[in-house]
Amino acid sequence: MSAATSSPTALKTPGSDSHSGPTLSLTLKIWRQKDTNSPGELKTYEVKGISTHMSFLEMLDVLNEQLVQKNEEPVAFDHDCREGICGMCGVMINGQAHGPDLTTTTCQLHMRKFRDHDTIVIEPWRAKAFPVIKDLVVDRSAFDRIITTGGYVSINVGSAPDGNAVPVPKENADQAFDAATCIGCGACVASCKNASASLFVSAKVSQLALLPQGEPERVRRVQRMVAQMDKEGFGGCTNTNECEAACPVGIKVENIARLNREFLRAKMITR
Amino acid sequence: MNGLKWLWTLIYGDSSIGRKARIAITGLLMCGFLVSHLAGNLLLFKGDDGESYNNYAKFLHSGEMEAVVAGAEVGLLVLFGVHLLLALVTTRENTAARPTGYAMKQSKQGDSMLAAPAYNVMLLTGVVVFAFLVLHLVDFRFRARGSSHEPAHVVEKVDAAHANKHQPITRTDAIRLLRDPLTSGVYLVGCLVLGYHLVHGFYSAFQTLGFNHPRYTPKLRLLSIVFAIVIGVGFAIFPVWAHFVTIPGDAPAAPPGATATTP
Ligand code: HEM
Ligand code: FES
Repeated sequence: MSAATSSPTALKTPGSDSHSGPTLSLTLKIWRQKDTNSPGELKTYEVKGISTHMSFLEMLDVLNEQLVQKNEEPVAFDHDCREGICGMCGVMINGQAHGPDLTTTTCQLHMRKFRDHDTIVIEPWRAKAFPVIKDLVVDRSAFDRIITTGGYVSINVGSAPDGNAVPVPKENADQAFDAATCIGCGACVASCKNASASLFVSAKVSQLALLPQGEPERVRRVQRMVAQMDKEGFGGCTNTNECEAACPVGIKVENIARLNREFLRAKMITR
Repeated sequence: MNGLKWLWTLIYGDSSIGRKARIAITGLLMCGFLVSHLAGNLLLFKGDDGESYNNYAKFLHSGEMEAVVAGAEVGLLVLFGVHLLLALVTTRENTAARPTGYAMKQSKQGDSMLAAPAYNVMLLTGVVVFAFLVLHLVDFRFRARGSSHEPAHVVEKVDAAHANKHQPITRTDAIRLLRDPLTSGVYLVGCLVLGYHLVHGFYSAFQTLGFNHPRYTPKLRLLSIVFAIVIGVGFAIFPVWAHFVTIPGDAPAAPPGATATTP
Protein backbone atom coordinates (compact mmCIF):
# COMPACT_ATOMS: atom_id res chain seq x y z
CA MET A 1 0.00 0.00 0.00
CA SER A 2 2.48 2.56 1.14
CA ALA A 3 5.89 1.02 1.22
CA ALA A 4 8.53 2.04 -1.25
CA THR A 5 7.67 0.78 -4.68
CA SER A 6 11.16 0.62 -6.11
CA SER A 7 13.86 -1.62 -4.75
CA PRO A 8 15.62 0.04 -1.83
CA THR A 9 19.01 -1.24 -2.95
CA ALA A 10 18.77 0.74 -6.18
CA LEU A 11 18.37 3.99 -4.29
CA LYS A 12 20.70 6.89 -4.17
CA THR A 13 20.89 8.86 -1.00
CA PRO A 14 17.79 11.05 -0.91
CA GLY A 15 18.59 14.55 -1.98
CA SER A 16 21.62 13.65 -4.01
CA ASP A 17 19.54 12.70 -7.05
CA SER A 18 18.34 14.64 -10.05
CA HIS A 19 16.21 17.17 -8.12
CA SER A 20 17.70 20.60 -8.45
CA GLY A 21 16.99 23.75 -6.52
CA PRO A 22 16.74 24.33 -2.80
CA THR A 23 16.33 21.37 -0.46
CA LEU A 24 14.85 21.09 3.00
CA SER A 25 15.86 19.40 6.21
CA LEU A 26 12.78 18.55 8.20
CA THR A 27 11.79 17.09 11.53
CA LEU A 28 8.73 14.86 11.18
CA LYS A 29 6.53 13.83 14.07
CA ILE A 30 4.48 10.96 12.76
CA TRP A 31 1.77 8.92 14.42
CA ARG A 32 2.86 5.28 14.57
CA GLN A 33 0.35 2.62 15.50
CA LYS A 34 0.80 -1.08 14.85
CA ASP A 35 -2.87 -1.92 14.41
CA THR A 36 -6.33 -0.82 15.45
CA ASN A 37 -6.08 -2.25 18.92
CA SER A 38 -2.55 -1.24 19.80
CA PRO A 39 -1.82 2.10 21.38
CA GLY A 40 0.01 4.55 19.13
CA GLU A 41 2.41 7.40 19.65
CA LEU A 42 4.08 10.26 17.80
CA LYS A 43 7.59 9.32 16.71
CA THR A 44 10.20 11.79 15.55
CA TYR A 45 12.16 11.37 12.31
CA GLU A 46 14.67 13.53 10.49
CA VAL A 47 14.74 13.82 6.70
CA LYS A 48 17.32 15.78 4.73
CA GLY A 49 17.67 16.96 1.16
CA ILE A 50 13.95 17.16 0.45
CA SER A 51 13.46 18.91 -2.88
CA THR A 52 10.91 21.71 -2.80
CA HIS A 53 9.51 20.26 -6.03
CA MET A 54 8.41 17.10 -4.27
CA SER A 55 4.86 16.42 -3.25
CA PHE A 56 4.13 15.69 0.38
CA LEU A 57 3.69 12.00 -0.38
CA GLU A 58 7.01 11.89 -2.22
CA MET A 59 8.60 13.34 0.89
CA LEU A 60 7.06 10.47 2.87
CA ASP A 61 8.38 8.06 0.23
CA VAL A 62 11.87 9.41 0.92
CA LEU A 63 11.39 8.83 4.61
CA ASN A 64 10.14 5.30 3.98
CA GLU A 65 13.14 4.53 1.79
CA GLN A 66 15.38 5.59 4.64
CA LEU A 67 13.42 3.47 7.08
CA VAL A 68 13.55 0.42 4.83
CA GLN A 69 17.30 0.86 4.38
CA LYS A 70 17.62 0.91 8.14
CA ASN A 71 15.43 -2.19 8.36
CA GLU A 72 12.68 -0.32 10.13
CA GLU A 73 8.97 -0.58 9.43
CA PRO A 74 7.97 2.08 6.83
CA VAL A 75 5.15 4.49 7.66
CA ALA A 76 1.83 3.25 6.31
CA PHE A 77 -0.22 5.90 4.50
CA ASP A 78 -3.05 5.68 1.99
CA HIS A 79 -2.72 6.90 -1.58
CA ASP A 80 -3.63 5.85 -5.06
CA CYS A 81 -3.89 8.35 -7.91
CA ARG A 82 -1.49 10.96 -6.58
CA GLU A 83 -3.24 13.50 -8.76
CA GLY A 84 -6.01 14.72 -6.47
CA ILE A 85 -8.91 12.71 -7.85
CA CYS A 86 -9.23 9.47 -5.91
CA GLY A 87 -9.53 10.74 -2.34
CA MET A 88 -7.35 8.03 -0.86
CA CYS A 89 -4.60 10.22 0.51
CA GLY A 90 -5.34 12.53 3.36
CA VAL A 91 -3.60 13.03 6.64
CA MET A 92 -3.57 15.80 9.21
CA ILE A 93 -0.53 17.96 8.51
CA ASN A 94 0.24 20.30 11.39
CA GLY A 95 -3.36 19.96 12.48
CA GLN A 96 -4.86 20.77 9.09
CA ALA A 97 -6.57 18.24 6.85
CA HIS A 98 -4.44 17.82 3.70
CA GLY A 99 -2.08 20.50 4.99
CA PRO A 100 -2.07 24.29 4.77
CA ASP A 101 -3.28 24.81 1.17
CA LEU A 102 -6.95 25.32 0.38
CA THR A 103 -8.64 22.96 -2.12
CA THR A 104 -5.55 20.75 -2.30
CA THR A 105 -5.14 17.08 -1.49
CA THR A 106 -2.09 15.80 0.38
CA CYS A 107 -0.73 14.27 -2.82
CA GLN A 108 -0.96 17.64 -4.57
CA LEU A 109 0.67 19.58 -1.73
CA HIS A 110 4.18 20.69 -2.60
CA MET A 111 7.08 20.76 -0.22
CA ARG A 112 7.80 24.36 -1.22
CA LYS A 113 5.00 25.22 1.21
CA PHE A 114 7.43 24.36 4.02
CA ARG A 115 10.64 25.99 5.20
CA ASP A 116 14.01 24.51 5.97
CA HIS A 117 14.17 23.03 9.51
CA ASP A 118 10.39 23.03 9.91
CA THR A 119 8.83 20.49 12.25
CA ILE A 120 5.80 18.82 10.67
CA VAL A 121 3.28 16.88 12.76
CA ILE A 122 1.51 14.18 10.74
CA GLU A 123 -1.49 12.38 12.21
CA PRO A 124 -4.25 10.15 10.86
CA TRP A 125 -7.86 11.34 10.52
CA ARG A 126 -9.37 11.12 14.00
CA ALA A 127 -12.96 9.98 14.45
CA LYS A 128 -14.74 7.21 16.25
CA ALA A 129 -16.20 6.18 12.90
CA PHE A 130 -12.74 6.10 11.25
CA PRO A 131 -10.68 3.64 13.32
CA VAL A 132 -6.94 3.65 12.65
CA ILE A 133 -5.84 0.55 10.73
CA LYS A 134 -2.14 1.28 10.90
CA ASP A 135 -0.07 4.44 11.32
CA LEU A 136 -1.74 7.07 9.11
CA VAL A 137 -4.23 4.72 7.46
CA VAL A 138 -7.81 4.82 8.72
CA ASP A 139 -10.81 2.67 7.89
CA ARG A 140 -13.27 4.83 5.95
CA SER A 141 -15.71 2.03 5.16
CA ALA A 142 -18.32 3.91 7.22
CA PHE A 143 -18.62 6.16 4.14
CA ASP A 144 -19.19 3.11 1.95
CA ARG A 145 -21.92 1.87 4.26
CA ILE A 146 -23.65 5.25 4.08
CA ILE A 147 -23.55 5.08 0.28
CA THR A 148 -24.89 1.52 0.43
CA THR A 149 -28.05 2.74 2.14
CA GLY A 150 -29.04 5.06 -0.68
CA GLY A 151 -26.30 6.97 -2.45
CA TYR A 152 -27.28 5.64 -5.87
CA VAL A 153 -30.22 5.36 -8.23
CA SER A 154 -31.61 1.84 -8.07
CA ILE A 155 -34.52 2.21 -10.46
CA ASN A 156 -34.00 1.47 -14.10
CA VAL A 157 -33.61 4.81 -15.82
CA GLY A 158 -32.98 3.20 -19.20
CA SER A 159 -30.12 3.84 -21.52
CA ALA A 160 -28.77 7.32 -22.13
CA PRO A 161 -31.74 9.42 -23.29
CA ASP A 162 -31.62 12.07 -25.96
CA GLY A 163 -29.83 15.11 -24.63
CA ASN A 164 -32.95 17.26 -24.49
CA ALA A 165 -35.47 14.60 -23.50
CA VAL A 166 -34.96 15.09 -19.77
CA PRO A 167 -35.00 18.81 -19.01
CA VAL A 168 -32.59 19.85 -16.25
CA PRO A 169 -32.15 23.53 -15.40
CA LYS A 170 -28.57 24.70 -15.90
CA GLU A 171 -28.33 25.81 -12.24
CA ASN A 172 -29.33 22.35 -11.05
CA ALA A 173 -26.91 20.65 -13.39
CA ASP A 174 -24.09 22.89 -12.15
CA GLN A 175 -24.92 22.37 -8.48
CA ALA A 176 -25.32 18.62 -8.92
CA PHE A 177 -21.98 18.49 -10.69
CA ASP A 178 -20.26 20.52 -7.97
CA ALA A 179 -21.67 18.17 -5.33
CA ALA A 180 -20.59 15.16 -7.37
CA THR A 181 -16.96 16.28 -7.31
CA CYS A 182 -16.71 15.02 -3.70
CA ILE A 183 -13.91 12.46 -3.65
CA GLY A 184 -14.92 10.98 -0.29
CA CYS A 185 -11.54 11.56 1.34
CA GLY A 186 -12.96 12.27 4.79
CA ALA A 187 -11.24 15.63 5.35
CA CYS A 188 -14.62 17.06 6.38
CA VAL A 189 -14.89 14.52 9.18
CA ALA A 190 -11.26 14.94 10.16
CA SER A 191 -11.41 18.72 10.39
CA CYS A 192 -14.82 19.05 12.03
CA LYS A 193 -14.72 19.55 15.76
CA ASN A 194 -17.63 17.12 16.00
CA ALA A 195 -16.19 14.59 13.52
CA SER A 196 -19.38 15.10 11.55
CA ALA A 197 -19.85 13.53 8.13
CA SER A 198 -22.48 16.08 7.16
CA LEU A 199 -20.55 17.60 4.27
CA PHE A 200 -19.89 14.19 2.69
CA VAL A 201 -23.47 12.98 3.14
CA SER A 202 -24.86 16.30 1.94
CA ALA A 203 -22.79 16.13 -1.25
CA LYS A 204 -23.95 12.59 -1.94
CA VAL A 205 -27.58 13.46 -1.24
CA SER A 206 -27.43 16.70 -3.24
CA GLN A 207 -25.99 15.28 -6.44
CA LEU A 208 -29.06 13.06 -6.76
CA ALA A 209 -31.70 15.28 -5.18
CA LEU A 210 -31.03 17.92 -7.83
CA LEU A 211 -31.57 15.63 -10.80
CA PRO A 212 -34.73 14.00 -12.19
CA GLN A 213 -33.15 10.55 -12.00
CA GLY A 214 -32.84 10.93 -8.25
CA GLU A 215 -36.43 12.06 -7.74
CA PRO A 216 -38.25 8.72 -7.26
CA GLU A 217 -36.03 7.75 -4.32
CA ARG A 218 -35.51 11.25 -3.00
CA VAL A 219 -37.54 10.89 0.19
CA ARG A 220 -36.28 7.47 1.14
CA ARG A 221 -32.65 8.10 0.25
CA VAL A 222 -32.03 11.05 2.55
CA GLN A 223 -33.65 9.38 5.55
CA ARG A 224 -31.69 6.18 5.13
CA MET A 225 -28.39 7.89 4.57
CA VAL A 226 -28.84 10.17 7.59
CA ALA A 227 -29.85 7.21 9.75
CA GLN A 228 -26.70 5.34 8.71
CA MET A 229 -24.58 8.45 9.29
CA ASP A 230 -25.88 8.65 12.86
CA LYS A 231 -25.44 4.91 13.37
CA GLU A 232 -21.79 5.02 12.34
CA GLY A 233 -21.06 7.36 15.23
CA PHE A 234 -20.28 10.56 13.37
CA GLY A 235 -21.12 13.76 15.23
CA GLY A 236 -23.77 16.26 14.21
CA CYS A 237 -23.25 19.50 12.32
CA THR A 238 -23.00 22.70 14.35
CA ASN A 239 -22.44 24.91 11.31
CA THR A 240 -18.86 25.67 12.15
CA ASN A 241 -18.01 25.52 8.41
CA GLU A 242 -14.55 24.12 9.04
CA CYS A 243 -15.35 21.28 6.61
CA GLU A 244 -15.82 23.68 3.72
CA ALA A 245 -12.40 25.21 4.38
CA ALA A 246 -10.79 21.78 4.67
CA CYS A 247 -12.46 20.19 1.63
CA PRO A 248 -9.86 19.57 -1.09
CA VAL A 249 -12.45 19.97 -3.84
CA GLY A 250 -14.36 22.90 -2.35
CA ILE A 251 -17.71 21.28 -1.52
CA LYS A 252 -19.84 24.05 0.00
CA VAL A 253 -21.84 23.97 3.25
CA GLU A 254 -24.74 25.11 1.11
CA ASN A 255 -25.08 21.37 0.51
CA ILE A 256 -25.54 20.78 4.25
CA ALA A 257 -28.44 23.22 4.24
CA ARG A 258 -29.87 21.22 1.33
CA LEU A 259 -29.33 17.99 3.29
CA ASN A 260 -31.22 19.47 6.25
CA ARG A 261 -33.95 20.73 3.93
CA GLU A 262 -34.26 17.38 2.16
CA PHE A 263 -34.33 15.54 5.46
CA LEU A 264 -36.92 17.77 7.14
CA ARG A 265 -39.04 17.71 3.98
CA ALA A 266 -38.81 13.92 3.82
CA LYS A 267 -39.84 13.61 7.48
CA MET A 268 -42.88 15.77 6.82
CA ILE A 269 -44.13 14.04 3.68
CA THR A 270 -43.12 10.46 4.33
CA ARG A 271 -45.96 8.05 5.07
CA MET B 1 -43.92 4.24 30.00
CA ASN B 2 -44.75 3.41 26.40
CA GLY B 3 -47.57 5.89 26.55
CA LEU B 4 -45.03 8.66 26.91
CA LYS B 5 -42.81 7.45 24.09
CA TRP B 6 -44.38 9.81 21.57
CA LEU B 7 -43.62 12.70 23.91
CA TRP B 8 -39.99 11.63 24.21
CA THR B 9 -39.71 11.33 20.42
CA LEU B 10 -41.33 14.73 20.01
CA ILE B 11 -38.78 16.36 22.27
CA TYR B 12 -35.74 14.26 21.51
CA GLY B 13 -36.29 13.36 17.87
CA ASP B 14 -34.82 10.33 16.18
CA SER B 15 -31.89 11.79 14.26
CA SER B 16 -29.06 14.25 14.72
CA ILE B 17 -30.65 16.58 12.16
CA GLY B 18 -34.06 16.42 13.81
CA ARG B 19 -32.54 17.26 17.18
CA LYS B 20 -30.62 20.14 15.72
CA ALA B 21 -33.77 21.46 14.08
CA ARG B 22 -35.48 21.46 17.48
CA ILE B 23 -32.56 23.40 18.96
CA ALA B 24 -32.91 25.88 16.12
CA ILE B 25 -36.67 26.30 16.41
CA THR B 26 -36.63 26.69 20.19
CA GLY B 27 -33.68 29.09 19.87
CA LEU B 28 -35.41 31.26 17.28
CA LEU B 29 -38.64 31.36 19.30
CA MET B 30 -36.64 32.49 22.33
CA CYS B 31 -35.09 35.17 20.11
CA GLY B 32 -38.61 36.36 19.35
CA PHE B 33 -39.30 36.59 23.07
CA LEU B 34 -36.08 38.54 23.61
CA VAL B 35 -37.21 41.16 21.11
CA SER B 36 -40.50 41.75 22.91
CA HIS B 37 -38.78 41.68 26.29
CA LEU B 38 -36.25 44.28 25.17
CA ALA B 39 -39.01 46.44 23.76
CA GLY B 40 -40.79 46.32 27.13
CA ASN B 41 -37.59 47.19 28.97
CA LEU B 42 -37.05 50.26 26.79
CA LEU B 43 -40.02 51.80 28.60
CA LEU B 44 -37.71 52.14 31.61
CA PHE B 45 -35.94 54.92 29.73
CA LYS B 46 -39.06 57.02 29.58
CA GLY B 47 -38.61 59.93 31.96
CA ASP B 48 -42.24 60.09 33.05
CA ASP B 49 -41.56 58.97 36.60
CA GLY B 50 -42.15 55.42 35.52
CA GLU B 51 -45.72 55.92 34.38
CA SER B 52 -45.35 54.10 31.05
CA TYR B 53 -43.33 51.26 32.51
CA ASN B 54 -45.58 50.86 35.53
CA ASN B 55 -48.67 50.85 33.35
CA TYR B 56 -47.12 48.25 31.09
CA ALA B 57 -46.29 46.11 34.14
CA LYS B 58 -49.78 46.60 35.51
CA PHE B 59 -51.26 45.61 32.16
CA LEU B 60 -49.26 42.36 32.11
CA HIS B 61 -50.48 41.59 35.63
CA SER B 62 -54.08 42.55 34.96
CA GLY B 63 -56.93 40.06 35.01
CA GLU B 64 -57.28 39.69 31.25
CA MET B 65 -53.57 39.18 30.72
CA GLU B 66 -52.99 36.78 33.60
CA ALA B 67 -53.75 33.63 31.61
CA VAL B 68 -51.74 34.86 28.61
CA VAL B 69 -48.70 35.63 30.75
CA ALA B 70 -48.98 32.34 32.62
CA GLY B 71 -49.17 30.50 29.30
CA ALA B 72 -46.16 32.42 27.97
CA GLU B 73 -44.20 31.55 31.09
CA VAL B 74 -44.89 27.85 30.70
CA GLY B 75 -44.12 28.09 26.99
CA LEU B 76 -40.78 29.80 27.62
CA LEU B 77 -39.88 27.27 30.27
CA VAL B 78 -40.57 24.43 27.82
CA LEU B 79 -38.61 26.15 25.03
CA PHE B 80 -35.72 26.73 27.34
CA GLY B 81 -35.82 23.21 28.77
CA VAL B 82 -35.95 21.54 25.35
CA HIS B 83 -33.21 23.78 23.98
CA LEU B 84 -30.98 23.07 26.94
CA LEU B 85 -31.65 19.34 27.02
CA LEU B 86 -31.04 18.82 23.32
CA ALA B 87 -28.01 21.10 23.37
CA LEU B 88 -26.50 18.90 26.09
CA VAL B 89 -27.38 15.68 24.25
CA THR B 90 -25.94 17.01 20.98
CA THR B 91 -22.77 18.28 22.59
CA ARG B 92 -22.23 14.96 24.33
CA GLU B 93 -22.69 13.01 21.10
CA ASN B 94 -20.41 15.35 19.23
CA THR B 95 -17.69 14.98 21.83
CA ALA B 96 -18.04 11.21 21.75
CA ALA B 97 -17.57 11.21 17.97
CA ARG B 98 -13.84 11.89 18.45
CA PRO B 99 -12.55 9.86 21.40
CA THR B 100 -8.87 10.46 20.51
CA GLY B 101 -8.01 14.05 19.80
CA TYR B 102 -5.25 15.54 17.69
CA ALA B 103 -1.83 16.40 19.04
CA MET B 104 -2.09 19.50 16.86
CA LYS B 105 -5.18 21.12 15.35
CA GLN B 106 -5.47 24.31 13.35
CA SER B 107 -8.37 25.91 11.52
CA LYS B 108 -8.24 26.45 7.78
CA GLN B 109 -10.81 29.23 8.02
CA GLY B 110 -8.75 32.33 7.51
CA ASP B 111 -11.46 34.72 8.60
CA SER B 112 -11.78 33.72 12.24
CA MET B 113 -9.22 35.80 14.07
CA LEU B 114 -10.86 35.22 17.43
CA ALA B 115 -9.29 32.78 19.84
CA ALA B 116 -12.75 31.51 20.72
CA PRO B 117 -15.16 31.98 17.81
CA ALA B 118 -18.79 31.92 18.93
CA TYR B 119 -19.40 28.51 17.34
CA ASN B 120 -16.70 26.94 19.51
CA VAL B 121 -18.14 28.10 22.81
CA MET B 122 -21.88 27.58 22.34
CA LEU B 123 -22.27 25.27 25.32
CA LEU B 124 -20.18 27.52 27.54
CA THR B 125 -22.03 30.70 26.57
CA GLY B 126 -25.31 28.82 26.94
CA VAL B 127 -24.43 27.71 30.46
CA VAL B 128 -23.48 31.26 31.45
CA VAL B 129 -26.84 32.45 30.10
CA PHE B 130 -28.52 29.74 32.16
CA ALA B 131 -26.77 30.91 35.36
CA PHE B 132 -27.70 34.50 34.63
CA LEU B 133 -31.31 33.55 34.01
CA VAL B 134 -31.56 31.74 37.34
CA LEU B 135 -30.48 34.91 39.14
CA HIS B 136 -32.74 37.03 36.95
CA LEU B 137 -35.79 34.93 37.77
CA VAL B 138 -34.92 34.84 41.47
CA ASP B 139 -34.66 38.63 41.43
CA PHE B 140 -37.54 39.66 39.20
CA ARG B 141 -39.94 36.77 38.93
CA PHE B 142 -39.81 35.36 42.43
CA ARG B 143 -38.36 38.41 44.18
CA ALA B 144 -36.64 36.09 46.55
CA ARG B 145 -33.45 37.98 47.15
CA GLY B 146 -33.13 40.49 49.95
CA SER B 147 -31.95 44.03 49.46
CA SER B 148 -29.70 44.47 52.47
CA HIS B 149 -27.35 46.81 50.64
CA GLU B 150 -30.02 49.48 50.43
CA PRO B 151 -30.75 52.03 53.17
CA ALA B 152 -33.24 50.87 55.78
CA HIS B 153 -36.24 52.84 54.56
CA VAL B 154 -35.70 51.46 51.06
CA VAL B 155 -35.40 47.88 52.28
CA GLU B 156 -38.73 48.26 53.99
CA LYS B 157 -40.34 49.45 50.78
CA VAL B 158 -38.81 46.81 48.56
CA ASP B 159 -39.54 44.04 51.04
CA ALA B 160 -43.11 45.20 51.21
CA ALA B 161 -43.28 44.77 47.46
CA HIS B 162 -41.69 41.36 47.85
CA ALA B 163 -44.39 40.37 50.26
CA ASN B 164 -47.02 40.83 47.60
CA LYS B 165 -45.74 38.86 44.66
CA HIS B 166 -48.73 39.65 42.51
CA GLN B 167 -47.91 43.31 42.66
CA PRO B 168 -45.97 44.21 39.53
CA ILE B 169 -42.46 45.53 39.97
CA THR B 170 -42.37 49.28 39.52
CA ARG B 171 -39.71 51.16 37.61
CA THR B 172 -38.22 52.29 40.93
CA ASP B 173 -38.09 48.74 42.27
CA ALA B 174 -36.55 47.48 39.04
CA ILE B 175 -33.80 50.09 39.14
CA ARG B 176 -33.09 49.32 42.79
CA LEU B 177 -32.82 45.63 42.03
CA LEU B 178 -30.49 46.37 39.14
CA ARG B 179 -28.20 48.40 41.42
CA ASP B 180 -27.36 45.39 43.54
CA PRO B 181 -23.65 44.77 42.88
CA LEU B 182 -24.08 41.05 42.23
CA THR B 183 -27.05 41.69 39.98
CA SER B 184 -25.26 44.44 38.06
CA GLY B 185 -22.20 42.33 37.44
CA VAL B 186 -23.94 39.09 36.55
CA TYR B 187 -26.49 40.82 34.32
CA LEU B 188 -23.85 42.75 32.46
CA VAL B 189 -21.81 39.62 31.76
CA GLY B 190 -24.88 37.45 31.20
CA CYS B 191 -26.39 39.75 28.59
CA LEU B 192 -23.17 40.20 26.67
CA VAL B 193 -22.54 36.46 26.71
CA LEU B 194 -26.08 35.88 25.47
CA GLY B 195 -25.25 38.21 22.60
CA TYR B 196 -22.18 36.14 21.80
CA HIS B 197 -24.32 32.98 21.82
CA LEU B 198 -26.56 34.62 19.26
CA VAL B 199 -23.73 35.74 16.98
CA HIS B 200 -23.54 32.12 15.87
CA GLY B 201 -26.96 30.92 17.03
CA PHE B 202 -29.14 33.22 14.96
CA TYR B 203 -27.35 32.53 11.67
CA SER B 204 -26.83 28.86 12.46
CA ALA B 205 -30.52 28.25 13.06
CA PHE B 206 -31.35 29.21 9.48
CA GLN B 207 -28.69 26.91 8.07
CA THR B 208 -29.96 24.11 10.33
CA LEU B 209 -33.48 24.59 9.08
CA GLY B 210 -32.25 24.32 5.51
CA PHE B 211 -31.88 27.92 4.42
CA ASN B 212 -28.71 28.80 2.55
CA HIS B 213 -28.50 30.97 -0.51
CA PRO B 214 -25.34 32.48 -2.00
CA ARG B 215 -27.01 35.87 -2.21
CA TYR B 216 -28.72 36.04 1.17
CA THR B 217 -26.58 33.95 3.51
CA PRO B 218 -23.69 36.46 3.72
CA LYS B 219 -26.27 39.14 4.56
CA LEU B 220 -27.83 36.85 7.13
CA ARG B 221 -24.46 36.36 8.82
CA LEU B 222 -24.14 40.12 9.07
CA LEU B 223 -27.70 40.43 10.33
CA SER B 224 -26.93 37.79 12.95
CA ILE B 225 -24.07 39.91 14.29
CA VAL B 226 -26.21 43.05 14.28
CA PHE B 227 -29.06 41.22 16.01
CA ALA B 228 -26.68 39.79 18.60
CA ILE B 229 -25.26 43.23 19.35
CA VAL B 230 -28.71 44.82 19.62
CA ILE B 231 -29.88 42.09 22.01
CA GLY B 232 -26.64 41.71 23.97
CA VAL B 233 -25.76 45.37 24.37
CA GLY B 234 -29.44 46.34 24.51
CA PHE B 235 -30.06 44.30 27.66
CA ALA B 236 -26.61 44.98 29.12
CA ILE B 237 -27.28 48.73 29.16
CA PHE B 238 -29.86 48.47 31.96
CA PRO B 239 -27.66 47.27 34.85
CA VAL B 240 -25.18 50.04 33.96
CA TRP B 241 -27.75 52.74 33.44
CA ALA B 242 -29.43 51.94 36.78
CA HIS B 243 -26.42 53.42 38.58
CA PHE B 244 -26.69 56.74 36.79
CA VAL B 245 -30.38 57.45 36.99
CA THR B 246 -32.11 59.18 39.89
CA ILE B 247 -35.09 57.53 41.52
CA PRO B 248 -37.19 58.53 44.51
CA GLY B 249 -35.27 57.77 47.71
CA ASP B 250 -31.88 58.61 46.23
CA ALA B 251 -29.65 61.00 48.14
CA PRO B 252 -30.24 64.50 46.72
CA ALA B 253 -26.65 64.77 45.46
CA ALA B 254 -27.11 62.60 42.44
CA PRO B 255 -23.99 61.48 40.59
CA PRO B 256 -23.04 63.71 37.67
CA GLY B 257 -24.47 62.53 34.42
CA ALA B 258 -27.67 61.36 36.05
CA THR B 259 -29.56 64.35 34.78
CA ALA B 260 -28.43 63.59 31.26
CA THR B 261 -30.31 60.31 31.16
CA THR B 262 -33.35 61.41 33.15
CA PRO B 263 -34.86 64.63 32.01
C1 HEM C 1 -29.33 27.21 29.09
C2 HEM C 1 -28.93 28.01 28.22
C3 HEM C 1 -28.51 27.63 26.82
C4 HEM C 1 -27.68 26.64 26.43
C5 HEM C 1 -26.95 25.63 27.31
C6 HEM C 1 -27.58 26.71 25.01
C7 HEM C 1 -26.81 25.88 24.25
C8 HEM C 1 -26.82 25.86 22.88
C9 HEM C 1 -26.05 24.96 22.08
C10 HEM C 1 -25.07 23.93 22.60
C11 HEM C 1 -26.37 25.21 20.79
C12 HEM C 1 -25.85 24.46 19.59
C13 HEM C 1 -24.73 25.26 19.10
C14 HEM C 1 -24.26 24.99 17.76
O1 HEM C 1 -25.02 24.93 16.80
O2 HEM C 1 -23.03 24.94 17.68
C15 HEM C 1 -27.31 26.28 20.78
C16 HEM C 1 -27.83 26.83 19.65
C17 HEM C 1 -28.67 27.90 19.64
N1 HEM C 1 -29.10 28.62 20.72
FE1 HEM C 1 -28.72 28.18 22.61
N2 HEM C 1 -28.35 27.72 24.56
C18 HEM C 1 -28.93 28.33 25.65
C19 HEM C 1 -29.77 29.39 25.65
C20 HEM C 1 -30.21 30.03 24.51
C21 HEM C 1 -31.07 31.17 24.51
C22 HEM C 1 -31.62 31.87 25.75
C23 HEM C 1 -31.29 31.48 23.20
C24 HEM C 1 -32.10 32.55 22.57
C25 HEM C 1 -32.79 33.40 23.09
C26 HEM C 1 -30.58 30.55 22.40
C27 HEM C 1 -30.57 30.54 21.04
C28 HEM C 1 -29.93 29.61 20.25
C29 HEM C 1 -30.04 29.51 18.83
C30 HEM C 1 -30.85 30.40 17.91
C31 HEM C 1 -29.24 28.43 18.45
C32 HEM C 1 -28.98 27.97 17.04
C33 HEM C 1 -29.52 26.64 16.68
C34 HEM C 1 -28.82 26.10 15.47
O3 HEM C 1 -27.62 26.20 15.35
O4 HEM C 1 -29.48 25.56 14.62
N3 HEM C 1 -29.92 29.68 23.23
N4 HEM C 1 -27.57 26.65 22.07
S1 FES D 1 -3.82 10.03 -3.82
FE1 FES D 1 -5.64 10.22 -4.98
S2 FES D 1 -6.36 12.14 -4.23
FE2 FES D 1 -4.41 12.03 -3.31
